[in-house]
Amino acid sequence: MDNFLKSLFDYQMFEEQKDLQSVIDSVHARYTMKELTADDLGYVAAAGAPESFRKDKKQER
Amino acid sequence: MADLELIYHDYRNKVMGYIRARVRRYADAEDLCADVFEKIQRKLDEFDAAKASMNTWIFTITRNTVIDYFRRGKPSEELDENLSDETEVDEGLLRTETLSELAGALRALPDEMRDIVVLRYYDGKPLTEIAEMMGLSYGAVKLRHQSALVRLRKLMHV
Repeated sequence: MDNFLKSLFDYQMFEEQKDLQSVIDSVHARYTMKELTADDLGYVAAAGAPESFRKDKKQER
Repeated sequence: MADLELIYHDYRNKVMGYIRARVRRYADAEDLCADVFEKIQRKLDEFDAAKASMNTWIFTITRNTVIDYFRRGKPSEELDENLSDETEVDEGLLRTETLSELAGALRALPDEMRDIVVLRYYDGKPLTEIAEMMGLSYGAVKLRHQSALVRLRKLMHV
């Protein structure tokens, strides 16, 4: 079951099946967990507002 | 034979989306995306629709390209254990219908179990970190994780 789920969720990253993505997004919405990447950090000023930046990045997807 | 330009048009976003979910540096992700389409071009004659769909074939090439990237050694990043090349992939299961079934099965789970499964298998978080995120003890998360797997196995008839 472990490998089965690993494979399916890995494939989901490629397929982005809408129904499953909405389940994933609803879980993520309960946890602020998006980490900023090194590239992301390049856009964030030292005294910037990361929260608003995260929202913008999410809307792009 | 499928037209490479058409394949690029249809799959570029999927390929890049997958790579970006795995590889943090944008420049590296772009290089890997280019590598994937170079491989597709090189191997297109070998593609056999009787063995796998174009979608699964391109996914496998993309996945292997990302695994190779981490194998070459990127000190700043670690290969997600969910992406280990030791994980056997049953390509027959890699269909959108199976993902839809998984969505339905996850919805049938209690919230906490659903959260643990998504955080563990989609985000690759260890159970200790999930316990911290959820404000639960490690033991409680481990127990719910096991129960979630049992329920999912039944729900998905695996």
